Amino acid sequence: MTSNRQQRAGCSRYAAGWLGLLARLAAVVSLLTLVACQTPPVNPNPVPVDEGVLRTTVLSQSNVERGGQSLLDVSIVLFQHETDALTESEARLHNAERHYFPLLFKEVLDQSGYWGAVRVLPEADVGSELECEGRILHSHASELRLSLICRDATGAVWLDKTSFQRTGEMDYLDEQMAVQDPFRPLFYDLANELAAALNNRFADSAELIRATALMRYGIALAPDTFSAFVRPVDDRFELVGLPAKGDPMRERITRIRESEYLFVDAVDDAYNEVLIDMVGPYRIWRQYQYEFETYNQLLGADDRVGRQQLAFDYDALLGAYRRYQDYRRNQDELEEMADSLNRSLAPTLAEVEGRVLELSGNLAGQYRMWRSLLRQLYREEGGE
Amino acid sequence: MHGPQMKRDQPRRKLVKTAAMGFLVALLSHPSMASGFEVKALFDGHWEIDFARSESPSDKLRYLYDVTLSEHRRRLSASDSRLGDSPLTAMKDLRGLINLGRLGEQITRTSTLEVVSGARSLEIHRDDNFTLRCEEGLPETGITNLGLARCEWQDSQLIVRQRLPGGIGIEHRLTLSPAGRELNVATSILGQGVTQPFTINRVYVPYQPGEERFQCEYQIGKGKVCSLGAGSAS
Repeated sequence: MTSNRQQRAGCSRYAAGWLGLLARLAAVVSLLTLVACQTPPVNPNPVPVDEGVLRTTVLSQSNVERGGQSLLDVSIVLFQHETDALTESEARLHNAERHYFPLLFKEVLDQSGYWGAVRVLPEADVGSELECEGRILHSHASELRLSLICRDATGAVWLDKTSFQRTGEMDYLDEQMAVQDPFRPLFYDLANELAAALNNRFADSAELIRATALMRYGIALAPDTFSAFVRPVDDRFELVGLPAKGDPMRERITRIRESEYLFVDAVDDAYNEVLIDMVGPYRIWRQYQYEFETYNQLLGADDRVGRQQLAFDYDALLGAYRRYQDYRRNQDELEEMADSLNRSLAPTLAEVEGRVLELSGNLAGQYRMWRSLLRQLYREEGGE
Repeated sequence: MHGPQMKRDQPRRKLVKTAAMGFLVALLSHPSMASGFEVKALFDGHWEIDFARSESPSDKLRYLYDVTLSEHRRRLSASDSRLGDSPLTAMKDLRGLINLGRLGEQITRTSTLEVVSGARSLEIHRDDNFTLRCEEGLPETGITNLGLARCEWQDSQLIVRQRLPGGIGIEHRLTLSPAGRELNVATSILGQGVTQPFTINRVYVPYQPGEERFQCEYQIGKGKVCSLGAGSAS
């Protein structure tokens, strides 16, 4: 029988052995860690710096005969502006940009020749074949950053992309500005991606998309009748059946949708006037904004003054104040120009709003009212 | 107060002065003091300077120079070297004060002001200088290397603070008289290393701007476009 002391001694030797082993292990681990720290893994494929969309980007234009297949219609919802407006005039300018950029995108899509009717709408349209929603994440003369998501009527995402373009002095030269908007290449890039998605999907899904769009439009007008044809599954819409061709119900809904298109085209024409009137002043505003931003950056780049006490050198003190004064006067001038731009756009926007007022109120409200009128029309025709 | 009593008070006075300066500089530079600005239409309207009741920058500078010089002389004659007073530092301080005063003279020449309150902003248009602009909810605006500005209310006083590189601070404090007939604009210029700020009080009174013969507005793409005012005889 071993004594307690012997047992304790045995335990101590046992523990000492473990401690020694642990210490040796720790030493090995530390050594390995050190080695690992000293030789960082080399990435054989370094990630290139994202320079955004290049100004040399060209628009892909359709030269494919689609064998009698009609083209898909695209709806673009007015963009959301997600940047914080710092001043009142900037907030008004954001409202103008919400209209301007989707209209520019529409122009580019039309030019590409891949699409049927491309329309700009005040709010989401359940009956659209392909719908794009955009968000303006950053909008300045030197950089535009957008996020765009396009889904077809079945809910399939064709494009979900955040893209940006930086501009340079070249983009704001008078002769360049006369030809195109400095950010047009960004919309070329988005249009090209959408065209690529079209080429991948169109042939086998065109009819399905059109039929689903029509049935979803039917649901918006007469949910009891049309809900049976489309089943929502998560974010998607599954077409489970169709009224027979020649079915009066189907013909009625098709006819009503055509009349809605006539109305939407009238709204679209009104929006086009915004684009036509906005192009000139907006480009000049951007040109000035770019010049001022560049100049302010140059002023701010001189940080020599920040390192010394200026109170004891009058020339340096006055120089620092003059630089600040220059910067603030530039800001004043930019603010005045933003006001001027808003003033020049106001009559056009008011005219568009006025035209809409004849029908309902504001554009979004009018759109809803139009739908309810169509729903009523459908009922009166004996659809329900 | 004479002799030893004055000598004993000197370190205390210097300490109080340094602490006060430190507090002012900290107030100008501490970012945590920043908070959102709220628009109040207390000063709206046109204001013109009342020279009779306004301080003259050159007179004020001369006065401050004399006071500061005699203060330094007293300290030097007391030869209390523990505080670091020397003819050199005294001269440097005086030079700093003169520089702040010269800058003060440059930036307080405004003869008319127009204060406009909007839904989200308050603007003080000055006839000879850039607009002082306070935006609702914005704690601070500007570029660090050029200068930062911040607006805040202290009761019914509007304070516009500008922080320039090189340890320079400019503060405009707008106060309305109880009857609302006078607007006092106190402009203080602070310089890091200078023992006291240079402050100028300018008094403004309301006025009605006359009917302009020409009405001008900036038009994008055309520049300043002027037309004959409605009230003018053609």
